[in-house]
Amino acid sequence: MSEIIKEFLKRFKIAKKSSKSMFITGILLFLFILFLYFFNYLYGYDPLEITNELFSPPDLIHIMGTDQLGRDIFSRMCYGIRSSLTIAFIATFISLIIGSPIGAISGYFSGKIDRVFSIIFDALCAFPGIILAILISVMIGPGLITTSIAISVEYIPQYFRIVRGLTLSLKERPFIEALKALGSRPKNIIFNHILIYAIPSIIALMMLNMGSAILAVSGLGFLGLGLPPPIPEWGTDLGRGRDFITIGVWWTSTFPGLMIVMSIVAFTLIGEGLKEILGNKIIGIKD
Amino acid sequence: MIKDKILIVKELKKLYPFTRGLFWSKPLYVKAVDGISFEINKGEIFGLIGESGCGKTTVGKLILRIIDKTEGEVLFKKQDIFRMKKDELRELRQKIQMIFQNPYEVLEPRLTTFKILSEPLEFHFPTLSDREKMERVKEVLFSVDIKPPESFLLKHSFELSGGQLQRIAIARSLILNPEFLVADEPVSMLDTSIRAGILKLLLKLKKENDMTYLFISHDLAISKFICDRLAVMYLGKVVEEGPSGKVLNEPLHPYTKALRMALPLLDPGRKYYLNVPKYIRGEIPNAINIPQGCRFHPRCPYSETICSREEPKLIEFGQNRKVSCHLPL
Amino acid sequence: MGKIILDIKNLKTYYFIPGGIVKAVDGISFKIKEGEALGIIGESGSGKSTVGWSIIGLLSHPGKIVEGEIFIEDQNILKLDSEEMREIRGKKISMITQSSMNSLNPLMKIDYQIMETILVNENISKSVAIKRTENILENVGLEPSSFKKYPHELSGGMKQRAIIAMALVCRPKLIIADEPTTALDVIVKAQILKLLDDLMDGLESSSIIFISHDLSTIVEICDNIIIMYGGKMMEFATTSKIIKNPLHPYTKGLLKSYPHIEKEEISLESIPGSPPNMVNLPKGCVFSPRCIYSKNICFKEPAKMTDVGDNHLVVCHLIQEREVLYDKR
Repeated sequence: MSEIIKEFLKRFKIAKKSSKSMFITGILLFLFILFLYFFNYLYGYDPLEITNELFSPPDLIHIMGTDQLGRDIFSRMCYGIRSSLTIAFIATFISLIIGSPIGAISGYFSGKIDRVFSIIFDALCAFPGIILAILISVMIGPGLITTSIAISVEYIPQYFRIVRGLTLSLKERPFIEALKALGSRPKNIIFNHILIYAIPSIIALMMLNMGSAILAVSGLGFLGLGLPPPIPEWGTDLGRGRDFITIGVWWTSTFPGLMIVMSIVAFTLIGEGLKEILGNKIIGIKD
Repeated sequence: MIKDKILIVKELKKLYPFTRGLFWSKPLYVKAVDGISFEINKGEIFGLIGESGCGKTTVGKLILRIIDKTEGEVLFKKQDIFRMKKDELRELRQKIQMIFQNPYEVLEPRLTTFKILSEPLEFHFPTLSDREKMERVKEVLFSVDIKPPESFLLKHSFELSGGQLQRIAIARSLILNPEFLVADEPVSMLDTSIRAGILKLLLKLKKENDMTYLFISHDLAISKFICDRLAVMYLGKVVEEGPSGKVLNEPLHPYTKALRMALPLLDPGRKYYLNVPKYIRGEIPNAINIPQGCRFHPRCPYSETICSREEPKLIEFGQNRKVSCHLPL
Repeated sequence: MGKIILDIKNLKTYYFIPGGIVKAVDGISFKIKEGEALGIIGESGSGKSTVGWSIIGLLSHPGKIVEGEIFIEDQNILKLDSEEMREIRGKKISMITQSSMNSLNPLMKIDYQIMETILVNENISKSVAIKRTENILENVGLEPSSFKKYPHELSGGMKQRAIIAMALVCRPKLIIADEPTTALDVIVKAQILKLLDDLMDGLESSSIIFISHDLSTIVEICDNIIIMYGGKMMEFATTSKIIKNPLHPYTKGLLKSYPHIEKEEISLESIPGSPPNMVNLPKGCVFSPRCIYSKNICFKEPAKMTDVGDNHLVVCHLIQEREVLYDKR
C-alpha cells in the first residue's frame, strides 16, 4: 500500500503544472466548503429557526438573506453541505462496493459470469442516470439511505467497467500465473493482488462521481423527491426558492445554485486532476 | 532396475478455439499442444526443447494445471491431476512447482522479498507462527545463495538484478518443498555470463532436495548441459526423444538435425548459417493450418509421398530412443 | 578497400535521469573500414545499444552526447543540425533493431513502404523506384506474392526481411544492426544471417555494425569485435583473436559462459556478481568488483588502453603492466 502512495507522490511531482493546479485548486475549494460548514456550525444561525423577517435581502446580518419562512439562508446553505456531501458520499460508496468486486470477479473468471454481468451493466448504462435516480427514488421513497441508493445505481457500471478492464489486463501477467501455480485461492489473488492496483483509479472515479452525485441529489431535491423538509438541502431550497423570483426575490434561488456549482466544481477539479496525474499506466506495475 | 515414473503424460492436447468470420462457419483451433506423450523418471532432468510456438510452455502450464486441458491425461505419481478435487489439488501444488521465464515480471514490485516468499507459506500452512515463517524464508534464501538473507528481506524487485530475482523466484518455488519442478526457460532472459550460476544452482538444489525436473528450453546447448533425457517438439507434437547427448549429436529426426545445424559455435569464420538454409526451407507454419500428414514435411529435405499423406507415430527406435518419422536418419 | 567509413573518437553519451547520471557510453573510440563487419558485444548496462543510437542520432530523451566526435566519411555528423542529419539517415546510415518488425506501418503494404523510403531519400522517378523495390525485396528472399501484403500478413522472419530491405534500399554506407535476430527462431536466425552475409558481399562497400548480447551469433559473421562493459570498451580485436586469445578477464569469463555442445563434458562458468549500477559506477576499473584477477590498483583507477600488437587493444591494468594472466582452467 505504501508503495502505491510513494508511486503516486512520484507521479505528482512529474505531472504537468495544469494537472497539479487543477488538483490543488479542487482540494482547496473542498477545504473551503468544509470550513464554511464548521464555521457556520459554530457561529451561525439555526437553519430551522423561523423568524419574522421574511424575504430579507442579503445584508450584514444575514449575508445571504432570509427565505419565505424567515430562515437564514447562509445557515441553510452551510447545513446543506452536510446533506449533499453525505448522500453523495454514501451513493458513491455503495456503487464502489458493489461495482468493483463484481468487476474483478467478472474479469477474472470470464466465461458465462462475465457475459451475464456485462450485459446487465451495459443495459443499466442505457438509462439516463437522472431518470434512473428519479424512478428508484419514487419507488423507495425519500430519506438519506434511500436517496443514496437511488443515485448510486447510475455509477455501479462505471466501477464495474474500470475494475474489469484492469483485471483483464493483469490476470495474464507472469506474477499472477506464479500465484496460481503456488496454490493461491482466487479470492486472495483478486483482492490482494489485483484490486489493490485499482485503488488509485477508483479514487479518481469516486471524486468525479461525487460531483455528479451532488448534482443528482440537488436535482431530486429540486423535483421535490429529495430529503423531506425542513431539512436544509440545496436542491429543495432552490426548487422552492424559484417561485419567488417573480416577486423580485433572487437570493432564495441564486445562493443554492451557487453552492451546487461550487461543490461540483470542487470535486470535478479533484477528480480530473487526479486522473491526469495518475496517467494511464497502472500504478505499482512496470510495463 | 525399474525406475519410478513420477510423471506420465498421455496424449495431452490443448486446443484454443477461435472463430473467423460469420458464426456459422466451422470453428478453427489453434493447436498449441496436439497429442503429446512422455514419461519422466524420478530423479532425472527431462528436457522439452523446441522453438517458440511449438507448445512447450503450454505443456508446462498444463502440468501445473494453471490452464485446463482439452484432452489427455497427466499422471503425477499415478494420479490424474485433471481429475483431482480442490483439496487434492492444493496438496498437489505443494509438490509440483514452476520456475518462470521472466524474473523481472514474476515478482510483484510493490511487495518485499519477505512478503513474496512468506505468502505461499500462508496459503498452505496458515498456522505457522511469524518466527517459523521467518526461519523458513531465511533458510530457503540461503539455499539459493542469497547471502546474507537478512539484508534482502525488505528489498523490492526493482532494487535487484536479474540473477538475484531469479534466485528469489526459485526460492519461492522451493519454499513448499516440492518434489517436481518445471523450469520454463529459467535463464533465457538473463545475461549470458550469469546463466551458469543459475543452472548450477538448479543442479545443486535438485541433489539436495531429491527433486525431478522438467526443463523447458529453446537452447540446445544449455539443454545438453543440464538434461539427462530430452524430447524435441515441433508444432505441438514430439518428434524425437532420447538421451540428450545422443539426440543432439546423432539426431534421428530431420528437424532435430536442422536445429543442431542452426547452432552457432564460437568458431570464427565457420559461417554456420550458410548450411542451414540449404538443408531446411521456410518457417514454422502457424498452429492453425497444420500441414497434412507429417507436420514437418513441407520443410523437410527428405520428404516423400508418404510424408504428405500419413502422420507418423512416435515409435521406439533403438536404445531408449523414440522418433516420429517415416524415414528416420 | 581500406577506406575508413566510420571514425568514432572518445564518444560519451550520458542519460540525465532524476536519480543521477547514467554514463551509458563513457569514452568509446573505434574505426570501421569499407565492407567491414564489426560486432559490439555487451550485456545489460554495457551501453552497446546507446552507441548505435548515438551514431544514427536518434538518442531518446534524457540521453545526450556530451563529448566526442563521430566521423562518417570524414564528416563530423555531431556538428550537423537535425535537418542535415535527417538527410543522412536512410541514405548514408541506416538501422535495424530487434523490434523493427513492429515499426512497420500496419496500414501500408510493404512494397509501398519501401518505395516511400526510396522516394523520400532520392530524386528518382516512381517507375525506377518500383523496379528497385521489387529488386531488393527479391534480394532479401521474399516472394513476389508477398510484395503486396500488409505487415500482419507476414511471419516474423518475413517482416524482418522487409525491414532489412528498407534499411538497405538506399545503399547506405553504414548499417547498424541492433539485435537483428534476437526475436527470431534459430532456423530463421540462420536464414537472416545468411541474408545479411550475402548482402554484405553484394553491396560491395557497405559496412555493418552488429550489436548483440550473444557472442555466438556474432562470431561467425563479424571480422572484428569490441567487448563493452559498463559503458567502456574492454577489448577490441579480430574475431579470431578474441576467441583464440582473449586477454581481458571479462572476455575470458564471457567465453567460458557459452556451453560448447560438441565437447563431451561441457564446462560452464559464471562471472560472479551482478551487472554494474550505472548510476553509481565503481571507482577504478568498471569490471573490478567481478574480476577474479583484480588487484589494488584496479579498484583505484581505470585502466588505459594498451595495444598488445597487431591492433589488438585491451583496457586492463594487468595487461598494461605486462603481466601474464594465467588461465585458471
